[in-house]
Amino acid sequence: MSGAVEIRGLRRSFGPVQALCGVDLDVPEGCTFGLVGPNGAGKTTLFSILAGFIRPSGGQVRVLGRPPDELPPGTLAVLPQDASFRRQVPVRSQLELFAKLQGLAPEAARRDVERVLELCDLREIANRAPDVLSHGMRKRVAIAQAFLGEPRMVILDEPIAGLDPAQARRIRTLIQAEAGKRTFVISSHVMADIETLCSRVAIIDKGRITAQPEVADLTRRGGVVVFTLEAAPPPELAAAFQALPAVAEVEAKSVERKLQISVRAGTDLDAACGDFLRVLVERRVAFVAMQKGTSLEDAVIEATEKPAK
Amino acid sequence: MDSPRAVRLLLRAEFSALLRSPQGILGACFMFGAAGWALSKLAGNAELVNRLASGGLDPEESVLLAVVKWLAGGDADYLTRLLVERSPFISIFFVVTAFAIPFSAMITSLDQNATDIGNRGIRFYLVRVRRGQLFWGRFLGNVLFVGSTCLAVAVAGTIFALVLDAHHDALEIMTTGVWAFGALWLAAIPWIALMALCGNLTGNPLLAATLGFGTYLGIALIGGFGGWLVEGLKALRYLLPAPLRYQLLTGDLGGILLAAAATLGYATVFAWAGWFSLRRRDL
Repeated sequence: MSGAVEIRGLRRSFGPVQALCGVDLDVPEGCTFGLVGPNGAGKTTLFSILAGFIRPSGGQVRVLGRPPDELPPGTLAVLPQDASFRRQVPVRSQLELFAKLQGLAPEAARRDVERVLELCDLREIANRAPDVLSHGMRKRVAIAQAFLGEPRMVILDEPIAGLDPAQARRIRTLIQAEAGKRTFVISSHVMADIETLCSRVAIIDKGRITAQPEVADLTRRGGVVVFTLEAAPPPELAAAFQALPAVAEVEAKSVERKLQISVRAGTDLDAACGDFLRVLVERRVAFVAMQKGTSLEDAVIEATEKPAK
Repeated sequence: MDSPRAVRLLLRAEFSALLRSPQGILGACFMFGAAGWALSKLAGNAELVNRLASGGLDPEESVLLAVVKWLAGGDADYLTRLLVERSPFISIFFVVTAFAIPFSAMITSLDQNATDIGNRGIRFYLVRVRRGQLFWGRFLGNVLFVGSTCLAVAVAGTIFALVLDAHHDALEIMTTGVWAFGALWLAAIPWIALMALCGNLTGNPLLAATLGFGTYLGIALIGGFGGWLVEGLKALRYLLPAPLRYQLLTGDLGGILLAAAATLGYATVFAWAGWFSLRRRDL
């Protein structure tokens, strides 16, 4: 598999502030890749360099095999964070211009604009100027422009932020439907979205990539089961689980009403789950959800806080 | 995509955006206002201007013409050539509108990329076109828009001259009208390039306007009033192309060509600096 993104020793500073300090990153072509980390970690700076908006202070960056500013127009699509459209020009006109600038003929551009307007549920407002639209609508227009044409790679910086639940689901479904056809690189503070959409993630913290695992590995889907309970776990419950031969460690989280069970290496997790359910039923402990692996949120928080400890 | 098509698309989009933008409308209105004022004065003084064309009035004896002399500068020979040899209606009209052209061109073109840089809207374009294509497409869109304004103004001035001028034939008037249009348009281009540079440096249309107008007015004041006190300060006026615009309409051919070449030189320097700043800066 060739690399959609290959970064070696990337550095970028803004005056005395080192936003990126020696980033190495590989994103395989065709995968849906998440970039996560706390505020100010360097996600947007990294995206800006990938898209050619800003230049690195040092290091090498190749996107689809080329330096970002040498990419053929239309091969890379970007949803930039907090970018605004021209205020007085109707949405449809702006999207048509973008489509034409990507190389589409006028008729094809018109058809493609109608397609993305439909995808993002924007038909009704297509003839309005962006300055009369709500924040959520403008966000959807920004997402729509990223799906124009046939880009080989799409960078989405916080694609779900600011959308209502129905629209967020629509955009999630859209990304899932397009996954595999092109490479996606997505940043989001909503870890559930990254977990749903991405197969791999890179964790960035203080300008450095601290890990680039598979989502399944990071959340230990093969070695951990988490129960969300209706009430705080009773004190004797952890001991009951600990008595099971498959269990290596039990962590009860009273405030979050969660019970996290780590199993021993080589355990058949599906078979172990049957035993876990039996323990809960026998002790009449009601649960709301059972999940294989920790949440990505927990895994990322753990990964980003670890060096500070 | 191929470069000329991208530039053409951006040019057309910019022209269309200017038609509905406050700065496009304001810039055109400023020009039309100056033209309207000149036409109203010419209509009210048609007899006097016709006496001038017939050689029956010394250009330096009339108050109206004193204004023209103050605006355009030049000696008596220049004024005679401007106001007697050519249709004085078009010449006076040209001098007044040429005075307005830096303001009109700068107002119109103050936001070629500035707002898009400031609010990052430019990022929607950068993955689709090269920075140079974006710069030149928008710059040429502004040049075309200001050119259209100049054309409308020149057509109005020529029609007035055709009706009012009793001493020059229609062909002569129309030739002067076409010349005046070309001179106005050419005179506008360096100011558009200057605003492209200011916008790309500041990333904010208000700051760009402040920088552009501040530079123009600052140099005009220092070079003009300062020049009365210290002769050497007059040369400062040539930091900008303002003094050249009146030389584009009349004079000997060598002088006109020199003024045209110098005007294009200013435009090239400002446009190159604007393009360079957009190419180098973080967006």
